[in-house]
Amino acid sequence: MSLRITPAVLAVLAMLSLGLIAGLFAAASGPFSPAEAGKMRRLLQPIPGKPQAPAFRLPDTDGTMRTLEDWAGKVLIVNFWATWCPPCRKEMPAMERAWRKVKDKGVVLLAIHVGGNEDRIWAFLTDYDITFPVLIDKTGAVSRAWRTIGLPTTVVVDPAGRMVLKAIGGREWDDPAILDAVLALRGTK
Amino acid sequence: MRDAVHDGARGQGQAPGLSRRLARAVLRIAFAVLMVSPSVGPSWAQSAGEAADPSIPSGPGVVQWHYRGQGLKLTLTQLRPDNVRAFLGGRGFTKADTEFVVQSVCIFGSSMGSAHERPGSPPVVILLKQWRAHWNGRSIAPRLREDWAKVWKARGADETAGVAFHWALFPTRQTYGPTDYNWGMITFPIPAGARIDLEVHWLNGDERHSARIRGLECGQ
Repeated sequence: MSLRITPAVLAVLAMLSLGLIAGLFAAASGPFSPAEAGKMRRLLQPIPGKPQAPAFRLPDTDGTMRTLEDWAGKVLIVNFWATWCPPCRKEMPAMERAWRKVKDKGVVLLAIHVGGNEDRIWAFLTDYDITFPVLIDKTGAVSRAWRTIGLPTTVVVDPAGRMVLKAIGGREWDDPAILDAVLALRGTK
Repeated sequence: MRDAVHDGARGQGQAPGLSRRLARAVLRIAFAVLMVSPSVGPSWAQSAGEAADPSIPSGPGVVQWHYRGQGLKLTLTQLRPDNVRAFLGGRGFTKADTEFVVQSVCIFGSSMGSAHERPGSPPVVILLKQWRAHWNGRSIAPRLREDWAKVWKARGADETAGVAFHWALFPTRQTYGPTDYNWGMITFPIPAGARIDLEVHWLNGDERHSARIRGLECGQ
């Protein structure tokens, strides 16, 4: 029995081949393509119940007292970090790149340093050319109130002041997948 | 239906030979794509997991241990007394408090969290309180954040230093979503240079897991 190869058969073979490839991709990485699975490494976790972000009053690096109300109605990315925390340091350049992309789009990036030692914080910010606001939580009380348990932790607050997304550990903050998720919160009621 | 296809092919003159070659080419390409695709087969997941966590310093002289399984990924780094002295000195601890730490505990740097990478994967809970170091026939519990808070209070240590130490320690209990992890130190009241087996405990969703990492060496 012989099968003659016509353009139609060729098309069917090509489709079957592509289907086989797609099927094996799915078997290897669940319902996601490798590109999608890669994106997952960069995504944020939803916070159940979307609790209201706790109010705070903290000094920035100039000593000016800032409060959560200063950024009311904006989408806030709040990063809890410390100069001595390796993954915190590693994600800072990506945070700065993200800040430059979103600062004119209704999003504020805010870093809260857990613990004191202003001199080291200043030196770090200068070395890394950080331009987004950095506040200092000397006692760690605000960090605890924001349910931060370990470093680094980042919380995204929607314009209604609710904590909606979270990342425990470093992320590539300028990744389009992350920025899209953050920008999509604008206008949330 | 197949006959209709055969019939159609007859009318294509040179086409069947060309089509056959094209068909073989398509299949070869498909096969080649399958063979080189990084997403096919278990090696993909393994290679992703075996990459050293960049959050822990690496390089000549740095001793690390890695574990990955049942939702947990873990890297432990040996910290030498001089590493600890440098860290604590920079955080505002007095020399006496710094030496107290160096003389009383063995410290590992750690980066631990969820090995899962897909949304919807079960949460991973690291249960540090249940961990045990096995050394010299003894089972030794870690000295946790809560334990150190009492120590610093009793010693009247600088509050800023105590805050830094708290946050520099790995959380006692933390829940990790896919790709989440924390960095932090783990301390055991074991002398410098001791070789230990470390019993680690965690939850992967509702499943309770433990593993024993053998031959860890406290820095000296």
